[in-house]
Amino acid sequence: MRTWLLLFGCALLLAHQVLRTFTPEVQGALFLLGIVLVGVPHGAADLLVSTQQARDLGKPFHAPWFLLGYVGRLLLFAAVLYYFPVIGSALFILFSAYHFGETDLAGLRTETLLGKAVVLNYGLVILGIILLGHAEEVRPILSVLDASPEQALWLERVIDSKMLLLGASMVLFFGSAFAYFVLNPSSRPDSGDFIARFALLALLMFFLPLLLGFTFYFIVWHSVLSLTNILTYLRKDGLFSTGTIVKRIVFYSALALIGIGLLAAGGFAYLNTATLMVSVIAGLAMLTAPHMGVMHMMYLRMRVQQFQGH
Amino acid sequence: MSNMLLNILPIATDNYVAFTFFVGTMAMMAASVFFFFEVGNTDPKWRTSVLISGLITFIAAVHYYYMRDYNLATGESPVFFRYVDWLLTVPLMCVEFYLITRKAGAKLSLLWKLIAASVFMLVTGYIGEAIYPTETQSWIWGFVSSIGYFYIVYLIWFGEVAELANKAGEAVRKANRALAWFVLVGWAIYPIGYIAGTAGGLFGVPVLSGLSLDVVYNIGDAINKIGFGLVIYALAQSDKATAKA
Repeated sequence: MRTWLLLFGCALLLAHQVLRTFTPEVQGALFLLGIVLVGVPHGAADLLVSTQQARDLGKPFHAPWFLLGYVGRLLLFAAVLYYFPVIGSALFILFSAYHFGETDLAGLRTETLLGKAVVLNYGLVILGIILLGHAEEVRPILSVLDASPEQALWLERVIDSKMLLLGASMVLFFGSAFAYFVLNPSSRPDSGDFIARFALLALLMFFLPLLLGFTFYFIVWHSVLSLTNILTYLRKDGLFSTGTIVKRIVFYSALALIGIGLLAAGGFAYLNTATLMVSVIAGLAMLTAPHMGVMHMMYLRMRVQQFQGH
Repeated sequence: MSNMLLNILPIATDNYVAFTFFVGTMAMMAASVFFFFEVGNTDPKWRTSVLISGLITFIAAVHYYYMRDYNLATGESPVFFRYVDWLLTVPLMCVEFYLITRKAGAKLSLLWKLIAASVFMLVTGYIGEAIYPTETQSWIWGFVSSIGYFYIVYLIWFGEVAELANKAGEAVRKANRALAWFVLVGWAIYPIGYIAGTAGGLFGVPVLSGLSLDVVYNIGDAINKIGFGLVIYALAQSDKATAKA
């Protein structure tokens, strides 16, 4: 699966570099299409995943309590973002980095502190390449979010230090990964192919333009892999058939898309572009916190079962 | 006049770049002669390994001889020739890992993996150092080149090579561990030299100001190539001694 996704990424890069440059409009359309087809469905499975988790732990599952907790975490993170934007943004980056790393390195035992460090550092490298590798494209987006002089100064400092940040993420990743493999002899993948895939992934994200690179990583790579892991987890002891899973994911995705559609329609009517963009990014950030929690528990359960099986 | 006739370019007493090129040439040549002569004094099963050690230092000696001239004539760093040297010698070093673990069942696929990773590491490193030496570009090429390096480290320390070496007996296990240290510490000179010497310096800090990148590479090369060969030679000799005992 991963190889096919990477081949698709290579085809995308080849098409962009050789055949025809994707205009920002086409990139935006591809992003939206990806969000509808895979991005939203991978998050819409959270309810099903939590049901399965409760079953694994032998606990009863109450959908209203789950939803209350989910929305509660969402609102808590929204409050942090609103009242402490710098801390909130830093947490958003750290949460996202950890979530991306945990999905890509799902085969590793990452319950230990060092394991968590590897996962986080991996995600930070990925985000570093996407954001700092396209610093000039990120700059106008961030200035739309906040055009204050303080924000501009802060942004300049980050961009000036981008080599330091990228270098630090690289050293942290290689250092923690080496230490992890030394200390965890039972958690070494048979081949080192995951390292080779990381090289190709890094090149793709750097050479694709910002939006296309983000679309490739977040939609094609992350969401598809997440959905594959979710399907494996949900089907493992027959509580859900593939048909049931697909039907429910389609149903919850449809609900989510209707909600997003209503919000967007309201947004277009009452908000200007800049405020709407802030709302979209803030919405995405808020959703990360509860979604990451659900997925983290799923990967934990999968690892427990995988290594108990061994 | 005589200098012109012999086409010898003098080396200034303070030109330590040319000096290290010269010393490198002589050290590599001496090591080659040693390994080639010792092939006949080695157990047949290790002869190919010792011969390859000699080839590695011999290829490097020829390149160092040429690079010294190039550097003296132009005053520039011979990046292209250095990468040609590495492109020939580093995959040969990877072949050594295959050869020492073959007894334990190493397959050809392992050999190709190691060769592919080393070529990937060098080609991407060359792109970042010579073709796109701008700040961000050199970082990304350096990063993916480092992933190639890390892949080799992984295979040797934790992957197939390590597993096979552990199965192949104590002498091979020890030799593999010594070579693995060469790769981890000795080869690390190259990515460190790369990031310190390319645009932006070491993550934006110009740490190599006043020190030539060539000096770092020359010292690293001499230690790695000759040291690598000596580990192989020591393995062959210890195996011979064990067999006699």
